[in-house]
Amino acid sequence: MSRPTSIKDCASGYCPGCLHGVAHRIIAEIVDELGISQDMVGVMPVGCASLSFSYWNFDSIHGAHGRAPAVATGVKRCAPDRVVFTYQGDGDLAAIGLAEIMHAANRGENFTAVFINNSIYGMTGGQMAPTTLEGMKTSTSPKGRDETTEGYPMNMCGILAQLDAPYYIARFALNSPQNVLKAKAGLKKAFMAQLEGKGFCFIELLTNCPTNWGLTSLKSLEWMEQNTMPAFPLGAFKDGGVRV
Amino acid sequence: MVRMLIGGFGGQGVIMLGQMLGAAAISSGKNATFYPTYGPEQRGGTANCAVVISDKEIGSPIVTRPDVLICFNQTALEKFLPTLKPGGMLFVNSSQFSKEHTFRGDFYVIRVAADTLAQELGNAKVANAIMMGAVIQKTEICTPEHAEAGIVEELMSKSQLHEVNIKALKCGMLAVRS
Amino acid sequence: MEKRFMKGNEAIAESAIRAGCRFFAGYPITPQNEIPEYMSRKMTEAGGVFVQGESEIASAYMVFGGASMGTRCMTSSSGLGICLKTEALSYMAGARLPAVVVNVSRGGPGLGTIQPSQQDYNLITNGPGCGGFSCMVYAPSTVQESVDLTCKAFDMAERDRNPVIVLTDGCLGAMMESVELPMPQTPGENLEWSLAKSDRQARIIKSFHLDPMDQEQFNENMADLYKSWDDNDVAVELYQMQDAEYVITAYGICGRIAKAAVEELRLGGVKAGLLRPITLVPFPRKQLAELNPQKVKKVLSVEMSIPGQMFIDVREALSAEIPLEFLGRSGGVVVEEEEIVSAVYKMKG
Repeated sequence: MSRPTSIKDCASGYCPGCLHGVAHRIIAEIVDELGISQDMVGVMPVGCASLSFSYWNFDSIHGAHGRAPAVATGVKRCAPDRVVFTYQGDGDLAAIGLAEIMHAANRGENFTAVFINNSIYGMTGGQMAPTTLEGMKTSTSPKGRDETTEGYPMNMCGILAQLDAPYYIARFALNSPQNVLKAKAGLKKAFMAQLEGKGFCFIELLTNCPTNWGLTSLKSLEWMEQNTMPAFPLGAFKDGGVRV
Repeated sequence: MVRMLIGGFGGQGVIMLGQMLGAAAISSGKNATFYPTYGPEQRGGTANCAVVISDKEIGSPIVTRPDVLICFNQTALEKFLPTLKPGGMLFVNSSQFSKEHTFRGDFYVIRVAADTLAQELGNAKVANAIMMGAVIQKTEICTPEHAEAGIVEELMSKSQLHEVNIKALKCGMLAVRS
Repeated sequence: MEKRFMKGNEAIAESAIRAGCRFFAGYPITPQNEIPEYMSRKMTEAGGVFVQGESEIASAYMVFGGASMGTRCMTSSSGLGICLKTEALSYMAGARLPAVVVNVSRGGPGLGTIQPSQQDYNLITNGPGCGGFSCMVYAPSTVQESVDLTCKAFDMAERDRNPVIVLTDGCLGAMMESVELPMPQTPGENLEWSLAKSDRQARIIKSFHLDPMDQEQFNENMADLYKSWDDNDVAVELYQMQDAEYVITAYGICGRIAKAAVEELRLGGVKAGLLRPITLVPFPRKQLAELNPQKVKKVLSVEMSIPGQMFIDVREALSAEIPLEFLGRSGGVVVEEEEIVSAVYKMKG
């Protein structure tokens, strides 16, 4: 297995066992396979993936927490000849950036939104996210998330699928090689839809955070299967503009 | 320098009259400013505007002591008449007042039955252009040709209205010619 | 040159398009609504893009995105919306992106009033956002100047790769005046730094630094840029200043009213003059510092803000031997020529 040319030859700053690397890799592979490296603009988040500016081998923009879909709107509207994706975590997209993702989706902006959901704020030290599971302990929910005061994990695919404009909305998990292959196929489909001008596509990738979950890499994958994946069912929510 | 205040209800063409007067003054080579003030209501509220016309640079576009006051209704008259400068000119849309209504004070009164004349012309909305005719006739702030140019500029996209408004302008001039 | 009788806000929008602006994102707020409304009609005709954002914040970030592509971009708002945009302004300053931001200011704090005021002076001139940066600030005082300075703002934003703010107010925005519009420009491509598509190495647009030394170097570079503004870019109108004994300082809408007051005072035999900052950043410190206490008896700072905000900058720049007085209105009350005239007579004693 060789390194995709859309990723630079450098060590990543991600923690051991973190699935950001896998998410980056499948994006880079797709960019290589579609031969669109010269067309790419990645709009990066605030969070662990802020570090990604030194990894991509294509143009990237590093904006503010939650605002990537607004930045991507400006990018794609001014340069329809670029292939644009946003890459955001759960705090970024589902909390501070909820308005931006909802409205970019509702306008049917022709870019690909990649949503990394690991149910926690990673970079800042493991605080509760909108996608934190019921009862899950974090540094700001030390007794476990209490849905009576802190609400329930937000199902972003389900929420966005209520909108009429989005073309393709799907959730995948990166916990196993088989699931990674499925995720890659879904992401590729989303990028191809953008190339065909189909409009807004949203790909949610369930990932882990061994460090802030306090688990080993392998245990974190097991935990995903037992907890995250039952709470966030995989599959397409909208396909070809139709609710699934 | 001439400072004008125009007042009435929204929908009486007050704002458009101010804009047309300003544009007319500009086309005659003078400086002009127009400044609108509305009530907080989106519909049916008061609409007022200020127009300043001068050969020199204009300072404030806001008029608190007008030389010329143009009132389209009773409310505007009550509100602004006390601010009219001594010796100033009051133009009233007399269609909105009873025949017996008198306007007393140290100012000239020019009655213009703008609504009635507009109806006679077949378009109630040209009451403002009728008033404009009266104003340019009495104040001589610009020639009729420049007034026409002002109307055309402000109604640029609505060419079907040019003719009736210019007709109304002339009608207003005639109405106050003594 | 094409002469038109235009509303201040619409004149700003039209001149932006003529200056090559091809992307506008904004959000409704009084008293600037004519800008997005005009853009929604005319921007597409010019081959550009108009987006009504879901918020002030999102609109400003859309501009961030558009500017990254080398497109001339603009957003506009009034004070309370500008506050929300300051986040993106900081990111743009940090990422060295040009953009033009128009503030048609109104009364405040909070929801305040929808009428004109100059209460945003501090917000706008003291680095509008986190992290300690500056934006050049133009303060037009006529509709013509709104046109000229909006066009210039695009050039300056691109020259410096930094956002430029045009600060007007509800009065200048709503009033109509005669303007000469510039010839339309074809926007340039900014290929040397933007992400516009071209055959080159991958580029990164970011305000993020991992190494504190890099951030410090960036800050030092910006300090040099700000210093160069003080040396080269100050714009100020000096009116009847040669023999002035009583000097009025005022900017924006107050500036033009103060000018009429100077005329009036001169007719009354008072040696009055006007020093009107056209750029608030850079501020005409030098011109103020050069006022000679042997000649100038007193200075009056006229503003539509209470307490005085520009007043502080004027005091700091002015020789300590020259007394400075203040005439302020606020809340949406536009200062009157007569008030300024009386204030000068009172000051004169």
